[in-house]
Amino acid sequence: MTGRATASRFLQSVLHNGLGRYVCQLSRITLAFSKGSQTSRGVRDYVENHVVDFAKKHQGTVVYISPRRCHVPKVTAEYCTSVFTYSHHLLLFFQLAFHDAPRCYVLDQYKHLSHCFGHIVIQAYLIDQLQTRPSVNGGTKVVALNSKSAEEIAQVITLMANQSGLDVVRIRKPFHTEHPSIQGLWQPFVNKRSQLSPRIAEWKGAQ
Amino acid sequence: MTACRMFASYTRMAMAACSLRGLAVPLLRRFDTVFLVRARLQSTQELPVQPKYAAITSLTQPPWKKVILPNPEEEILHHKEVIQQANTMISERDYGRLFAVVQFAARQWKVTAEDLILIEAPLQAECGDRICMEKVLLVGGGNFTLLGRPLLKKDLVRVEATIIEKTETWPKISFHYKARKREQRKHVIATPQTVLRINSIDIAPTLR
Repeated sequence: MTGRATASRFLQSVLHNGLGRYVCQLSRITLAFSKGSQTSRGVRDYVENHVVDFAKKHQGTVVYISPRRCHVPKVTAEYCTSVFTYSHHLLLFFQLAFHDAPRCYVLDQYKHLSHCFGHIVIQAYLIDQLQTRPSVNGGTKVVALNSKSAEEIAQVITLMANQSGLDVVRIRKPFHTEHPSIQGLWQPFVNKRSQLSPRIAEWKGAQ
Repeated sequence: MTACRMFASYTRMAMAACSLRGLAVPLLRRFDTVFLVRARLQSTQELPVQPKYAAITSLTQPPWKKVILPNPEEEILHHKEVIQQANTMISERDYGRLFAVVQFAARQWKVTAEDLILIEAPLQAECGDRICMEKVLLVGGGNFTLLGRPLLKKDLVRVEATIIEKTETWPKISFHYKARKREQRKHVIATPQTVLRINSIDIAPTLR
């Protein structure tokens, strides 16, 4: 459809991100994949080799790895739009809250990952994730990863990490300012002589 | 009869003379007017040149005001005064919010602190990196403006920005279809975008 017919929004940021300190908006990422199917081969490769580097690079993001029976492996990204993003300590608390989630089961196959990095919470496919994890007040994005290689999956996940949770719709203007005018808006009386004293300037000039 | 013939010849002469001069003279039939024509011809040859009076109309002068250029010596003094005032304002930090015109990503942006910019290109820097924009064409405050020719020097202005987001555009659909030919092609285009936040604009007091 045309840009006029579809939804649109103005350029904005989440909670003035970038003014004080840049904060990654991605708060939770979940990789759901199958342990044996051919479509999940790339995801399994990514989980074994690349996911720990991603989690180390993005300290503020919690990574969930969920092996379960599914035909289509997916990655679900959840963004925070209501978390106060200026303090580092608050973020740490947020991470710890996720880590101390009850009823967390670690599968033998992926036990080595839990030793490497404590933010990865690994759950068995039998447990319903929604019951154990607190909700995040932000946008959600789901991308299917079936028949993708580990490099392509890495690109998808990096893109999700670099995005804010705002809608991917047409952006009306490529700029946004709170202060559009500094020297004052133009009016017809700007740069014109005053009507009250037209002769004074000439008299002063003559003097 | 002869007198009439003589006067007729005079009219013909008058008309011929007038036609030579390029004047359109109507046919003169009365004898007294013949004499008047003769008198007129004689008088125009003998009269002295008189000054012409042109009327003042709406087209005598152009509708815009006449430009009076200033005296060059006064101009030099005026320029020195302006530069000195600008220097004092900059050195005493007598300005509030500054704005700058910056050339970035093949476009020019009018930019202040704390504002957002969307660039339709991928940048090599990562999210969270701080960037200095080097091509500054203009910097201004409330009471003064510094114009570059075409750029200002790097030690004079510093415009810093942070990369806050690296996304893609909304999915634009390129659909080619030909009727009755079984030809169609659907292509979804999503080009990379970068969002920058301008952090600060600083002026150094080195204006000469």
